[in-house]
Amino acid sequence: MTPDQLFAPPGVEWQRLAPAWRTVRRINALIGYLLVFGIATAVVYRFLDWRWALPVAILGLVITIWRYVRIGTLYRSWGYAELADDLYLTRGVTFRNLTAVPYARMQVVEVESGPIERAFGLATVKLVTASAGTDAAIPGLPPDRAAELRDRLTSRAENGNSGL
Amino acid sequence: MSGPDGPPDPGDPAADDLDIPEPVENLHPKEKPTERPHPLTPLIRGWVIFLLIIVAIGRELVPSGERRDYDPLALLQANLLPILGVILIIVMLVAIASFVTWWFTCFVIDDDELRIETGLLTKTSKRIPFQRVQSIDVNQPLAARMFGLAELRIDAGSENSTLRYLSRRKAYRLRDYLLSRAHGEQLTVADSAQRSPASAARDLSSADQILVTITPAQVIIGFLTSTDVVISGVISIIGLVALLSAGLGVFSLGVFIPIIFGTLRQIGSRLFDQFNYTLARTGQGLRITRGLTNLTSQSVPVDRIQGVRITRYLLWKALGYYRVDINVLGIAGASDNDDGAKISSILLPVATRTQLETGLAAILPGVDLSAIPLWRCPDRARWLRWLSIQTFRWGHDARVAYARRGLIDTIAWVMPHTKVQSVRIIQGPLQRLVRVASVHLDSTPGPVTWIAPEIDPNDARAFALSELNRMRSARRAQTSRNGTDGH
Repeated sequence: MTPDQLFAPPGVEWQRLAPAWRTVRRINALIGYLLVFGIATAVVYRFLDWRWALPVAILGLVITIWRYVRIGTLYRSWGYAELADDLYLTRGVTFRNLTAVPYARMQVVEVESGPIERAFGLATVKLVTASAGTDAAIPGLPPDRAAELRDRLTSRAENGNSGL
Repeated sequence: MSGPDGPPDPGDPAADDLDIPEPVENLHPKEKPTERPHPLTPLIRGWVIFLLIIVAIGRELVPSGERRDYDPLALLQANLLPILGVILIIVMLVAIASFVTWWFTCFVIDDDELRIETGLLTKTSKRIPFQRVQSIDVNQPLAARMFGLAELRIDAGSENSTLRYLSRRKAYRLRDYLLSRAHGEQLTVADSAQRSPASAARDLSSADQILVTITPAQVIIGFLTSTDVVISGVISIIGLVALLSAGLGVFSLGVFIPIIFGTLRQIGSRLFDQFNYTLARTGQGLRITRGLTNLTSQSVPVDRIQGVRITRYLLWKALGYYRVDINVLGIAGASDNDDGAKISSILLPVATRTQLETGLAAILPGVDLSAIPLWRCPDRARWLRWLSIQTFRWGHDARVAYARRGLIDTIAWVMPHTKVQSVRIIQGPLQRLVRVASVHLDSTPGPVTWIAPEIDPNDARAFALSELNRMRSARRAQTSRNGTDGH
């Protein structure tokens, strides 16, 4: 069994995230890494000199570019599928992960949207079960699709019996 | 004492003159007589503080071996009057505070509702629906126990309420009544009182069936042979030998006397907490009673048990001892250590094989763990875990999923299919190289986690997908069973 088969949803295709999610993640990566390494470079330059600051700046650039490039692969690794009784969710490149959550086990379904996500018209749907280990969230959904998904999941959760 | 700030008085004419009846009416649909905790409550609370002061002073007086620049006894004699005065003021303040707390604590437990009202300045009225009550503990700290009093701890998921103190008989009766109501039984307080009362010493009535009793000898032997105690003992002995052979015997006293005293203290507190540890089946479900001075009586909500962990320490394998911990929904904050009188996630701290089987039969009726077919991890997985991979086993039957591992201590995890929250397959980069994957079954927070590590990807996928089916059919079976009584 190849890794792709191991993490495929049973009998259906993955629903993918909106392409704009890549842009959001790229902006996040650029802001985050450039800020951290920019400050580090400035500090090193101030207290030592440019011969030390240059490697730090180059390292920062390399890591930022690497993260930026990898976001395409990361994007392709995400997927979700709504089956009859369970929601399937896959993600991760280095550590690949397949999570299956029965609708009957969902306690809360939340829709979240940060400022950058909002600017690109995206939202995140978060599933909460009684377990902290479940950790299931679907990012990069257009708000109307996110709201639809939330309503569908909630009504299915109500139909199923949580049986705790 | 009753004035505008006093507790609601059903006959107060002023209440009728208020011009804003609506919200008040909604808050208290009909005024009914509320009860206060036992009148001895403030005395006991004050007494506990008084004891603490005496103990603190006593500690100062006992020569502790340290060199001091002053003699505490002489100091005490010189300042006897001011010290007594300060103690008197503290005791008075505590007494007043205890009295005020007691005076403004009222509760109603009747056929319609469970409501607790507290607070002098900020009034709090907490109404807990009967169905939300998850478990109820009756604790008897020594001071309260001497007066035949007990505290009632009501666990309703996210919030806990404690009523202290009630007479022991009343605490037991209310506990039995509330547990019956929590299980959906429609009975009245009067009906509940008709049932056979519990005996004071062990909180067991003639109708209750004792399943497991753990002897003090078992508790002590189990403690001394548990792996962490053995390891620290071995390290201490090696250290002692090293110090003696280096001719530093004097230092060894300073190091080892505290260790010995610490161990004795731990044995003592373990014995005090787990003395007469009894698991019993009562009319309202399972119950654990334990304790020598502080008597604790904890109800175990069987249908809320999410998973079971069975531990065998290295030396326990020779003794035939087992320890059982459980995940219970809503008591995530429970401590899993053996000390302290708090609510605990331990089912059996140290049990023989027979006791283990009795305990498991009580919480997982009809499940035979030894009959579950077990699988091993593929040999190639040894590249990831050199030694322990040989000890990994996993399997399932119609009711539960089972996993076991352990090179030194053997730990087994059991999770009923009805209680699994979600299923995950995970594959890291090294696992991809070796062609294995892990399957996790998620449970509520607690000591039980279920992982089938380093198994073949085909097995992992087949197991994860079939587990979802088993969870579904187990849930449906449970729903149809519970359908009639409104769950």
